[in-house]
Amino acid sequence: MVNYLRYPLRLKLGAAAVLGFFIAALVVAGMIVWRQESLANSVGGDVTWAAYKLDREAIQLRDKLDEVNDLDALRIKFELLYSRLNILQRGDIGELFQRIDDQTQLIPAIASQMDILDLQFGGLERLDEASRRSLQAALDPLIDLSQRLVIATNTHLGKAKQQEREALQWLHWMLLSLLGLMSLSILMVTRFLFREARENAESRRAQEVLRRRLEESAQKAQDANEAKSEFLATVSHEIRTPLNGVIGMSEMLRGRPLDPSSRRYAEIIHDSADKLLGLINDILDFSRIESGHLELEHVDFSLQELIEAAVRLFEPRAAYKGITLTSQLADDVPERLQGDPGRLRQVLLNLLSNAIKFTEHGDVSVQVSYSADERLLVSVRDSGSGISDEQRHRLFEPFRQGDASTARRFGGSGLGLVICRRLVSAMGGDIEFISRVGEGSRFWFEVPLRRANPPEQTNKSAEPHFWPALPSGQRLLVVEDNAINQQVARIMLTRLGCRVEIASSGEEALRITQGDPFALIFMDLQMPLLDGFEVTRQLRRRADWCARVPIVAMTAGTFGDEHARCLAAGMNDYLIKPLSSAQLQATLHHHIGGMDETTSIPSEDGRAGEDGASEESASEPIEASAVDSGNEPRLALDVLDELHEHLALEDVRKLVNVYRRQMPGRLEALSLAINNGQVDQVMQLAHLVKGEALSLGLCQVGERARELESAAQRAPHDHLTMLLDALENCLSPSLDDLEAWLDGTSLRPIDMQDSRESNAE
Amino acid sequence: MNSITYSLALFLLVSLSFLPAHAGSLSLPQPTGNVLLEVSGDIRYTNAGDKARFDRKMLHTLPTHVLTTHTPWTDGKRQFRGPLIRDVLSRVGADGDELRVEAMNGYIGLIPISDVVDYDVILAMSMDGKPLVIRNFGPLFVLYPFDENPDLNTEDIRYRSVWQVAKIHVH
Repeated sequence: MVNYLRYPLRLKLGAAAVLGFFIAALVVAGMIVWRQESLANSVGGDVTWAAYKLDREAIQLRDKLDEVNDLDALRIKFELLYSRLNILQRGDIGELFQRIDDQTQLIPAIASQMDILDLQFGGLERLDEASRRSLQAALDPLIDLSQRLVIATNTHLGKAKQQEREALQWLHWMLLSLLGLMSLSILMVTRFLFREARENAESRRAQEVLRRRLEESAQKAQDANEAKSEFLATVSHEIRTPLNGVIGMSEMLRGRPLDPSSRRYAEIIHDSADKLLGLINDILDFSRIESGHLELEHVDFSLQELIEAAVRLFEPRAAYKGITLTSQLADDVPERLQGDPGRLRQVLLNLLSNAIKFTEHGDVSVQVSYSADERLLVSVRDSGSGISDEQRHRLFEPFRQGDASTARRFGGSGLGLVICRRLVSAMGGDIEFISRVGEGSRFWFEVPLRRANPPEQTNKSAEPHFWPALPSGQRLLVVEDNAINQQVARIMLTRLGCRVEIASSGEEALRITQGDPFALIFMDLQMPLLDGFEVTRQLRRRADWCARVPIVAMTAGTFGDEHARCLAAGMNDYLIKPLSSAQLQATLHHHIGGMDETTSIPSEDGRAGEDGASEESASEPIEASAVDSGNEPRLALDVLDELHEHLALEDVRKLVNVYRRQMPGRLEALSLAINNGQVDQVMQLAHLVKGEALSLGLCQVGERARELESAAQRAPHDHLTMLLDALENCLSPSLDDLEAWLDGTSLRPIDMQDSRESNAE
Repeated sequence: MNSITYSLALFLLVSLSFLPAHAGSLSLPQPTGNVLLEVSGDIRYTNAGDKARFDRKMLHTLPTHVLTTHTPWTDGKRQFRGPLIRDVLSRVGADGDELRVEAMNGYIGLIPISDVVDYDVILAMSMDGKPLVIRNFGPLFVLYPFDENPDLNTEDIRYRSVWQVAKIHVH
């Protein structure tokens, strides 16, 4: 019905016209057929024949009158003549004759004349001259009448035929014109249909164009969103680096003797920077989730430990505010579950943090249960201010908080719950809450988590790596335009026993590489004029060693297809700034690593990296337990010697004291970060600890910190705690050793010059 | 069916009716009254030279067929009686494709044998119980069953409907 209504009027009219003309043509054709069956047509010939025969029989009878003598034969002739009259008066013929004879009344006259003859024949005894005369006298008018009848019949039939022909002609013309009109209408309808089809096609095409445009704009919107996320991530990342400087420096400042107001300022700087770092980390997390870079772990973990650690973390704050903080695990919660404990902890900590933040007095409790269909339900209940209905719908939106006053009073990025929701839904679960203003809130989330398989204790991937020592004295080229980054790379690579040359631009890199070959080139991607891609392409085009030398990209960007573009340009690897020495070490091992991967004794062979075999060597690092620190040296004497070369022993001692005072704070922060599941924070701190330790020659502590840093990204919470314990454990023996070295050095003369030279060769 | 088949069928009919044992009793007697019909041509049984002559009595010995029908030449529905033409032909042992029927006034109609085999065509002798006289198509009238077969109402059949029949020639 809807379709029918959509047909245009002209099409409906056209179809109606075709139908009308068709019916009319049928009627006309029917009339033609019916006409042909009319009386005149069917017995017209018979009528003429009958009239003619009457006339002829009458003439024959008159002719016979004189010749025949046999009265009986003559009678038969008369009978035959009489039968003709009967035929004229009966049946279809009779009917037609009545019409023909309407005006002239010939047939009644013929009949009466015939009756006269009949009477004469009846009274006839014999045939004599007199009777012949009288019969002839009666026959003559009959013949006259019959002749007139023949003429009348012919005239009538002729006229009838003509009329008939004219009528038929008219009908035929009618039929023809109707057929013509019908064809015309069909033509029109066809044209309409064609036009209709064309219009349909046009509108379809228009829709198609519209659809494509919409798709394009959707794509653009998506691209813009991605660009925004990337920008956020980049900016956060960029902010974090100087922020670390601020935090570190303010920490240093706090460690110095200061007057009270300076100390207060330093504290404020430190706190602010810490908060800022937290916000930045939130944003980084959020943008990572937004751009689909969220990857979930699937490891076994103890739920009870996780919950207890989280609660323990907040206990001091709760106690400070006078809030009771309790947790309750239902009996049926399995001991171990399989999933991403770090993300689970993040969600729980967020909810707990909010609960405590918004509760002034009363209690906060965590309740955990596990359903039969393997879903974990965690709910956090507080007796805080509650959430009004107006705030309700804004709660899970990014960058929104309950209301503006909340933001002013409590701070925060407004991303916490958004991140929680994204994380929970990434795990396939739901997060919800109920709340009443003034009575408190209850937030809960439900995620499907399977029971863990019986523990097998093969956590290979989480084990830290021990690299075999590098062939020392490798010549490396760092192509980098930023002066600070140049220095960082130089120091780190020199620490790893390499000789470093710096090219400050792409042009310089091309020039330097004209000379002696390098074992590896680190290539910054973003440089003015000639960028890293182009430099690499030009190097690869050369016929000399440059075509084969490993080139490793260094970039600050972490998004997009940069990695693929690097490989396409001919690079071998890809490092993300800020560079960590673990990363660098792994990269160096991968590309120019020592031939013998089973040994951890520093190799003297400086040329190993230039062999073609460097590609596959050292790709499989040796694995060892994190705590198995057996006969590892605690101090890097060469570093200490170097330190001593630049600083007075007294200054070194001061530095060590500062370090000694700082370390408990660092370790505490690390522990907090690990418990919070703040991977980036852990990495940052571990990196800091590592850097400090290495610069003081505390190589074992540095190594532990490095392990922690490199494991932070992947290893489960338990393992990180273990690594942190290992770090803590080796700290005081190392410091003792350092004290001993300081004491020892102050007593003996310095001769590190020789040892250094022997190492360099 | 073609003419050969008709001839064959007729021949079979004739041979069955006129077995040699009955030939004597079935052979055509001499007419005693006025001769109404003279059959000539390809016939086996004759009573006047090579012709077979029938008077009213002889025709009455043949099974009488009643045909009630309209005709183009009469008003209303009429009841006609008379022998079937194919019975007449059987009686004379006719063997041919066509009948040439001649009227007293010299009119000649040609009737294919197939007509009298396919349709119950009679040689009407009376209408509504009264014998047909010359004035009324008599004494013999070839009449097709028009009402039974409406498609017979054509010019052709009307020309074959001979009245005042005097002679039939089989060939």
